[in-house]
Amino acid sequence: MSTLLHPVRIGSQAAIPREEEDFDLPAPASKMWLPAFAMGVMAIAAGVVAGAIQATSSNAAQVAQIAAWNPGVLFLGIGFLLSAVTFTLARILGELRDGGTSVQRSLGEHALILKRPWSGYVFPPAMMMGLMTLIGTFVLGFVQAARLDNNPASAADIAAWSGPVRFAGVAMIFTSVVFALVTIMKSLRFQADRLTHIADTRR
Amino acid sequence: MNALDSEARRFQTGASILVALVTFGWMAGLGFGAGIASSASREFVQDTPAWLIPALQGVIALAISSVVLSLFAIVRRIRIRAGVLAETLPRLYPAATTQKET
Repeated sequence: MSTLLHPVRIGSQAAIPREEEDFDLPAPASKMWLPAFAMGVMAIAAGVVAGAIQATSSNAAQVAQIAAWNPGVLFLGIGFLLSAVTFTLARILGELRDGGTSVQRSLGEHALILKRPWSGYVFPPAMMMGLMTLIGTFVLGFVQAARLDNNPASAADIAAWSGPVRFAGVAMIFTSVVFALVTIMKSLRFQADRLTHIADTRR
Repeated sequence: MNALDSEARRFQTGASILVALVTFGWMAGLGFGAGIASSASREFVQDTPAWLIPALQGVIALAISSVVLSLFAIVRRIRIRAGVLAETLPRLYPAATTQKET
């Protein structure tokens, strides 16, 4: 195959040869979606069981403690499930890349892929930041529960600000989903531009 | 190709079942919410939110799972699309298939 000077422009987007991709992000994502999904399902199931115990318990201290840490468990479960969505979107990006490569090679063309756009760099750390925030608030829930007896004022303070932080964590993971979708949109546009480019060069 | 297509259909069916469960879940949640608002039983009003909120987050989890299943169906469809294009495009451009292989 001929050597290309790169990155080249295909339509409005930068492209690089398939073999020069810096990091194969979809490969670890293909392995990580299942553990993330399983942990999410387990956390949600644990949260629902803890909620049922809280509803039926007659011990006021136990009810207060479960009420302190259970939201953290449930939000962590939602965070893991949304992370599984992000991993699956990364997998879709890998499928688009590999499918585009096979189509170009079947036409005897040099396989070009979209140079990773900024959104492709942003979505993995956004997801990790969101998940770490939720892990932090999960731990804080137990700290809050431990302080209910000795330092109720501190427990009330933690309860006041940990709720909004949990929502911020979920918002960060949703942001990563949006950036992953933006990257998929760019990838689809690149494929259309690349096909048009190949057809134009063969006229 | 047929195997990929049947896998995609299975994922789509699974996602549809989950969406039906989600619809049932949030409707039941609304019913319990209205029940709490209008109930005269103090015990019911105190105890129900303890399990209802986690259960509704479980409903959200089901909704996210249906998104994951739909994305898996999309993965299979993308593979089918790539396979069809890789097979048919060289037939549309037969003379040019070896043009750049040098």
